[in-house]
Amino acid sequence: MIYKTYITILFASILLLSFTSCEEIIDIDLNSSNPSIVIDGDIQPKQNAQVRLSYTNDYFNKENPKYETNATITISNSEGISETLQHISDGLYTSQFMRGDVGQEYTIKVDLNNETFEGKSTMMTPTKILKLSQVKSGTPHQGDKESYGLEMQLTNNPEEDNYYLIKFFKNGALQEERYNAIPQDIFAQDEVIVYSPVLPSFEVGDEVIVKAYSIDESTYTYYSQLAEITSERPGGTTPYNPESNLGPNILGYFRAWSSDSQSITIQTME
Amino acid sequence: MRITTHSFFLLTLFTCLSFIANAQNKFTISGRVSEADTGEDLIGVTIYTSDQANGTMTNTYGFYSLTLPEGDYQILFSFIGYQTQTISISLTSNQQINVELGNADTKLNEVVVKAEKKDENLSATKMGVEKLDMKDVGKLPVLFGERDVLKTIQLLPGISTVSEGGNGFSVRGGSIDQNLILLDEAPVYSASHLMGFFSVFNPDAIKGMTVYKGGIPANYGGRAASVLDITMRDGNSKNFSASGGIGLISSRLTLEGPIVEDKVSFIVSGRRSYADIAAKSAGIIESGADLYFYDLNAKLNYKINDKNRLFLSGYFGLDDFGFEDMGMNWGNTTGTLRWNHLFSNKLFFNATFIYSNYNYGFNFGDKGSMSSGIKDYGLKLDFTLYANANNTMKFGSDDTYHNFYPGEFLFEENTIPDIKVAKKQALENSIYFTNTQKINSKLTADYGIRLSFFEQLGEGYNTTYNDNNQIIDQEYFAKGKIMQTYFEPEPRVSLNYRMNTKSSVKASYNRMAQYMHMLSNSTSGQPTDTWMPSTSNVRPTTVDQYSIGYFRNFNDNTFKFSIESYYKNMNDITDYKDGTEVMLNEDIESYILQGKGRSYGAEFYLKKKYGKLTGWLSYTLSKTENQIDGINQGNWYNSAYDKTHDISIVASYQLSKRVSLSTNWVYYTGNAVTFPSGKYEFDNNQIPYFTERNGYRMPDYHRLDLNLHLEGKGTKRFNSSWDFSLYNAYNQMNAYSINFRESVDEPGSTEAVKLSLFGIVPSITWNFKF
Repeated sequence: MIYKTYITILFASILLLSFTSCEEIIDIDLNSSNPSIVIDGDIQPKQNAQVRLSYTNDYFNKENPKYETNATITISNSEGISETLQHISDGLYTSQFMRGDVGQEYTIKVDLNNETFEGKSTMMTPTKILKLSQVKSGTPHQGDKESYGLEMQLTNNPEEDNYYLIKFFKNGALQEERYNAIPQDIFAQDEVIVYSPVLPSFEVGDEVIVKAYSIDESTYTYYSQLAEITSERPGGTTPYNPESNLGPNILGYFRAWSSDSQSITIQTME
Repeated sequence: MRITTHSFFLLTLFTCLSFIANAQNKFTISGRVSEADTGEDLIGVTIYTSDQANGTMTNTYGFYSLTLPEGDYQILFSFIGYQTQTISISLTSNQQINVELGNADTKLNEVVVKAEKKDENLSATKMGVEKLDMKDVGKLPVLFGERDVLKTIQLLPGISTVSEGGNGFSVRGGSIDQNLILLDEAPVYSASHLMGFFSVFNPDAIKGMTVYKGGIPANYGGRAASVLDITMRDGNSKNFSASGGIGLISSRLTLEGPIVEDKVSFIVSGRRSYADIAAKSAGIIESGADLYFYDLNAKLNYKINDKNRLFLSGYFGLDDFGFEDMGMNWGNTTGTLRWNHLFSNKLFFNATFIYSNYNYGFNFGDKGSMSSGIKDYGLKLDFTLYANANNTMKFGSDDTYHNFYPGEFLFEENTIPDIKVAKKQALENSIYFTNTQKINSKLTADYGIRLSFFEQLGEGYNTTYNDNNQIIDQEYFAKGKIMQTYFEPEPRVSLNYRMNTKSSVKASYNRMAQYMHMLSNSTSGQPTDTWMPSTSNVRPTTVDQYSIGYFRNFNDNTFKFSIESYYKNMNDITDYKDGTEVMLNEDIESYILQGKGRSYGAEFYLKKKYGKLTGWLSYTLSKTENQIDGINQGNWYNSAYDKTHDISIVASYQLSKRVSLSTNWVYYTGNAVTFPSGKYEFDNNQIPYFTERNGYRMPDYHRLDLNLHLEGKGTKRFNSSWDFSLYNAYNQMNAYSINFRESVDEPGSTEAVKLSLFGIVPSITWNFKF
């Protein structure tokens, strides 16, 4: 939830301000675990469904993971239309005919070695980023560099129980700098909502691409948990595997979602 | 209803006890023992006959009572650091003898001082108990020159540090919320400043403390693992004096003196940190930022007459942290009003009214604010009956009304609904009886029972949940209606068998019940931790502890040695389902998992109390495991508080009359933690894969601290001293946390990152007293 982000920032800032902490990359022995199947599937408006099947790998292994190519995957929508996905390459399966449509609930079914995994997700009304601007950041910073936050205006369907996921990509990076999952209880049920996160913050010259995803409740929960275990929080929670919609103790997730993106270059502001 | 139970219980006791008390041809000496210079009551002074056949100790208020057969005696009053006094009496009637003991340091070369009754540790039934005088704490090196009682107790066997610098501690495998911390009898819910790096206890205002980790007497209850009983000073009743210190992080000032000499005295002690001022001037933080804590201890004590005394004490503390329009603050307030009354020279009574409040708040500027807390009102009635030379009985009651404020988040924007988690209320009532009985010259027993009753009270809902945390039924209870009750009998027994003049064997059993649970998503303790009562969904935690120990003295009491081993069964300890949102969760009860734990270990302790070199060596070998359905596939796993080895060496050497050097070295096994045993790709990211709860260890921790204490020349009216400290003298970069992340420079590959908080930290403090 949103206050949690604030509290994390406050804690991190206190540690930062109070003490001379020091970070170091270290070698550490980690056990190997038996490879477990990972299901990473999504469907977007007017696009084919995609599902990647891979296996877990040793933590420090730099090679690509093993992919699963012998599964049977079907997708169906709330109208009862279904299709079996084709394996393309490297564990990636796609639909040929079925494309995403707003308002539909999609179900995928993965049959593998006599086991079946099934998950559902609903495609919510897509959002549009109406405006993206920079604001002076409230977060403390060290040194002389000013830090800036972003403010965005997003279209919202007040009739829906919808959630948003915002990803930030800095300076052409493929990995997001950070993502924020926004629960619906923190924004008003208006047609336009304004969102101004405390984090991430940027410096002058940064080129930032913002992607805003419209997601359902279960996807919000999954991404919130993912954010929690991948963020660095001193003295934080005991880590765990996020709760999949494909069954208990399954790794990965299937989501129906849509996104809009815009970019901004941070400039000096008085 | 409860009141009648209490009265009946107390009345029955009185009747029984009056029979025991009516022994023939025996007389009682009683009175108080205080410090000669300041009039402060002395706690734990041993009073014994010269043949050492009979003896007793002063209680928390300096009171003692000793009943002996008619005859001539030499009575010795002795206390560590003070001159022993011998008084000759001819006992033909009851006598009141008040004694003042002079400080041994100030009157050197007069008498050879034997600081306490020989073999005190052997004759007492208590085990798993350690008393610390502030003099012991004062010379130890600590972080940033701040003396700290909570850091000092973590150097004792069986008490372990939970995280670097932090004040959360674990006693014999118990969690941090299982420690009852009392300041003048008021519970302190969050004992730390600055995110846990400093304790809230200002050393100048504290007289001493006792920590119980096993064989906990029946007059204490409410927490499952330990009791830390801290007593504030009463204030100098003879002269006005001021003392204080100026350090790098904070300064402190204490004023004390008589209002009416030997009748009414006060003490006020304040402390404020100024890290923020230093950081601002150094340009580390902006001028709009706040980062400080302060605390204030105050106590007033009034000796009405020989039979009646009143004490009023209070503590106020606050941490404030903020930048621009955002910030957080948290603090405790406690207050106690106590009335001591002597019904007779054998029956001591104390009534205590207790108030304790802890709250924290966040302010998110134009976005909103959040707050949470707990408030207690309590009444304790404690009787001590010095029945005869062989029996000392304690009995009484303890009633506390708890108000829990789990928290609320208020949004500035009106269109967003506020989050308000329903308040909870509970009543905790206990009655206890305990007797210390000298069965024969070799065997002493301490036995008793505490009966604790717990009621969760309305207004509120008893909610039934399904496995998916959804509400399936709710029952409403109006204000004051009983929603849920629990009852636990808590027997406590300690035995001491004196083998010979040099050694003894002790054994104890105690059962403890805890009706309050801390909600926290960290193991080390944070200001945002909140408390909740046991409810229809969350059962109270109970612990059964068995321990046995061997105690021996060497070299005419110069060395004390002990080995204690313990075994603990813990029932209904709590944890959460994965991914639980602990804060502001109305349905947190449905996310709580309960299970069992076990802890066992051996503690070795060698202490040298006298001579130029003093100090101790402690080593604990232990194992703590939990089994909770829903965690780690229901298999046993290492508790977050499991520490295999824990070693502390503490030494202080008096180089000359004015210079002393002290050091401590600690080494312990790293905490049990959950690290990934694999990774996987999801949404273009590398995600760590976890297979086993607490299956890994943090690196072992070790650190050396040094302190040089220089006493100024001083005049009759003004004394000053300097402390030069080095924390982490060999600059060991101990791990505070280890995080796993995708490499920034090399996307797709993963790395482990160690965060260390402190390298070597020098500090300097100047202390004064006049």
